[in-house]
Amino acid sequence: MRLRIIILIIIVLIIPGCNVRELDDAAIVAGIGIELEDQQLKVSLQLAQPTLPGSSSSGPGFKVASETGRSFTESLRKIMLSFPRSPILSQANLIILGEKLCSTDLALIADGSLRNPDIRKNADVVVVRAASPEDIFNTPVLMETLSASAIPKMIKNQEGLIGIYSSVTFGEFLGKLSAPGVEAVAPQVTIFNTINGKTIKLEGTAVFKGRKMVGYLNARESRGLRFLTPGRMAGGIINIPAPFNSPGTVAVELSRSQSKIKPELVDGKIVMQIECIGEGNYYEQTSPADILTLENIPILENLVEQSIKADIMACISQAQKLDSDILGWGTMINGKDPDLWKQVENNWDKIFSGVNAQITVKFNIRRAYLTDKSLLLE
Amino acid sequence: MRYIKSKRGESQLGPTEEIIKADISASLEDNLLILNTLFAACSDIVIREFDFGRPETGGLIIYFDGLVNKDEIERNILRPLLLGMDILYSKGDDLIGKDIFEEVKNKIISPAELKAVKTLDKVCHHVSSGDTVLLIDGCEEGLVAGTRSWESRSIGSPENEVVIFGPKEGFNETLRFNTALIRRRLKSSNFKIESFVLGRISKTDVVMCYIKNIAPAGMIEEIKKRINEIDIDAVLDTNYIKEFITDDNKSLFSQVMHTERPDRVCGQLLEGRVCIMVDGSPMALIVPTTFSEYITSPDDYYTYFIPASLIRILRFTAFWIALLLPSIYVALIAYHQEMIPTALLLTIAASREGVPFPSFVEAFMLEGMFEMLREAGIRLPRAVGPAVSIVGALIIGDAAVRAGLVSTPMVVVVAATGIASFVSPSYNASLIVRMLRFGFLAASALLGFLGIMITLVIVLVRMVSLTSFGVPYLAPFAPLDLSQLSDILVRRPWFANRRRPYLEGMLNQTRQGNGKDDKSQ
Repeated sequence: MRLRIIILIIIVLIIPGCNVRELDDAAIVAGIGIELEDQQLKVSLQLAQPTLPGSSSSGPGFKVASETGRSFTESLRKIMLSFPRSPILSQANLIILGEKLCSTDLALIADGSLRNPDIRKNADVVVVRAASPEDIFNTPVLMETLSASAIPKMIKNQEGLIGIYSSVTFGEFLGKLSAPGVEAVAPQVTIFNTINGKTIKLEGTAVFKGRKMVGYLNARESRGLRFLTPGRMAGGIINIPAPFNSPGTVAVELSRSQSKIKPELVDGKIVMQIECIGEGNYYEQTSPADILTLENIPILENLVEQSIKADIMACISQAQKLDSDILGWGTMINGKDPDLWKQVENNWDKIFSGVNAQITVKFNIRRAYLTDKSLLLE
Repeated sequence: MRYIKSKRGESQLGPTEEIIKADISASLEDNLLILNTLFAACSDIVIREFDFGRPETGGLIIYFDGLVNKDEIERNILRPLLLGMDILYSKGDDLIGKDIFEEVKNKIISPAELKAVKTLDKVCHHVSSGDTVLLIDGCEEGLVAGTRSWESRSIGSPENEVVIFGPKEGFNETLRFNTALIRRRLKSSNFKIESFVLGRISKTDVVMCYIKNIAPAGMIEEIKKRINEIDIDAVLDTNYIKEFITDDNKSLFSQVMHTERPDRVCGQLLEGRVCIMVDGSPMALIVPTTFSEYITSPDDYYTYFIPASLIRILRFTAFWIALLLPSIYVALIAYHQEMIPTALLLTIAASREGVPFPSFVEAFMLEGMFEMLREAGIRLPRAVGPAVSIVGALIIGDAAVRAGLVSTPMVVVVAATGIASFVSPSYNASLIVRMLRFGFLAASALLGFLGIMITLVIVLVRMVSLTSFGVPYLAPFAPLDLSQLSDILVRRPWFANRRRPYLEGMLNQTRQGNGKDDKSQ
């Protein structure tokens, strides 16, 4: 018995398991960028430079290492030719895909990055617009040392506060690339010039069809995409023009909303029933008019409903224009009626652009933050 | 010191041992000769001879100086004897040895404890224990008067089991005081104290306390059997007994509990356990003991149950931190960096820059250093104590980091582990945790989390297979007993504490009420 246990322990010890990698022999990778350059894959890593809190550090606090090669893995490993430490890829919370790569073919990297156990599948993925991933890594961000850790934070915070773009994880992205009946999207980042120099900004949502990027959604369509995602969500500002011919704008904060989308067959045609229930708070008005009265609330609610509806419609029409089912309607049909899906699956590309949507929006204003009249009135 | 164990009765007897087996002789001169031989070169023996005005019938008293109350001997033995014998002889001359003995025993001398002994063996034992023996010419019996009295430490507060609420009395080195401390709390004739004499040379008094009708009878018999099997030349502390009577005496896990608190002993006796105490040691042994006893402290029961329960949860958490924190840290930073948030990893990486040792060497170094400091702290003379702690704090805490030998997070981890290990109310438990911590550390250095899991499984398998006098070592956890577990993980309020924890073959389970829910009755 004892001998058996000892043998067992020895076997366990000689089985190759994880390797020791001391932190002083490793470099922490904050973000991975992939772009196509001269028919070769260029992989850039943003490497965090560890600095002790309190110690005065000079320099940007990060290094960017890039290398090109014929495959994703080759480029990644070629970095080792000029870099003394082993990169901890599993810390990378952001994967940046280059515009050229996206519009060529994502099959170039999908397999290599999916197989690699060190690449986090819950890292955020973004597509760069009008720049290269390397540029993004080299651009400073306000208040943050690493652009690769700043971008996921930016996506997350704007989601709750202004509510335009949704974060997309790498695993979800790769899944949608290969799944039938749904196409992938990813938020886009771009380099933005300010008087203080360059900085990074979120702008647009990249729309894919198959393995290629075919276009993008603007801010309004991206907002519509959020409402078209089934399930609950919270956060965001909805601006509506002030009613009753008064000048200015009224801002309503979306505190929560829920969307239900179900496909229905009406007269042999597929119609998507979209039901969106939301509630929010009266947040701001830019005119002195006495807008917020008990009688006006239903009118205001109606205006918000129309605004949401318009966003949704803008998104649907852009998706149908790009002929890319980023809304996942195909999978919804498959879930509701698999037989129907089998009929339409092969022609879904053509059918999708003609599918009609029935949109119902219900919005309630709940709070006005203890102020009934605008200050300007008094 | 090394004690050689040999079977009782094997002939290793010298001349003194031959003599000692003899009975008391009727001739005082013979007895005196034998006693002088036995106690030759014992400078603290006092043999006082006297005659009662008649040289043909003399007597002697014998005692060890320092173990007796001389005042009592003088008042209760010598004076009545010298005065009383005169009166006795004045009544008539025809008294023979036997009659004198009876007269003396029943009418003349007046110690509170008095009994007759027949063998020299007993005489020696009693004299060595501090009693005074009276031998009278012509009598084949000796009279033993209880005159034990010696200087001893007064009853102080327990040093190793400090509590905030509750009794502050602790045992001391005198067995009788200790049993009295328990008897005072359990005023019942069912509270039994059975006595043994162990040690071929030391002849130490050992007692086993239990409450009849609560402690399982079979267990009492088993403990008695195991105690009687002990053959050793001296028993200087309860631990000597512990190592003989535990079920698995080569195990890392101590299956008995030590305590120096009479109130804790009483609490355990009331749950059907048995307490063993040894003269000369302030520590009582409690058997059977399960692992859960290590996270409970007696003052849990003297504190209101809600804070007491929270503190128990805290202690349980601290137990895991003390056991696993350094190994988890090493596994994280050497194997599983993906599990650390990036910002934290950056800080750790920054402080590890330039540290010349692999992280597990660093951990071993610091943990070893901490253990040394801790061990040094126990035995330090008061005067140098602060010096060592300053050196320890400066060298380990600050200078080592500045010199770049160790990283700051490692110091934090080791310090947190140290604090967590002091949370344990039982020194025994923290000893086990200290030993296992190094095992876990080695395993995590070899295999990361896999190593920690393997070690955890090995340790758990070992623990579930242990028993303490028939009670599984991990008792309320495995085998799972939810009704008992509620008094281990949290402290059950007294009003809900209606039944005693169940031990094998326990007789009386009801603590409160009329016992309608007691199936055993």
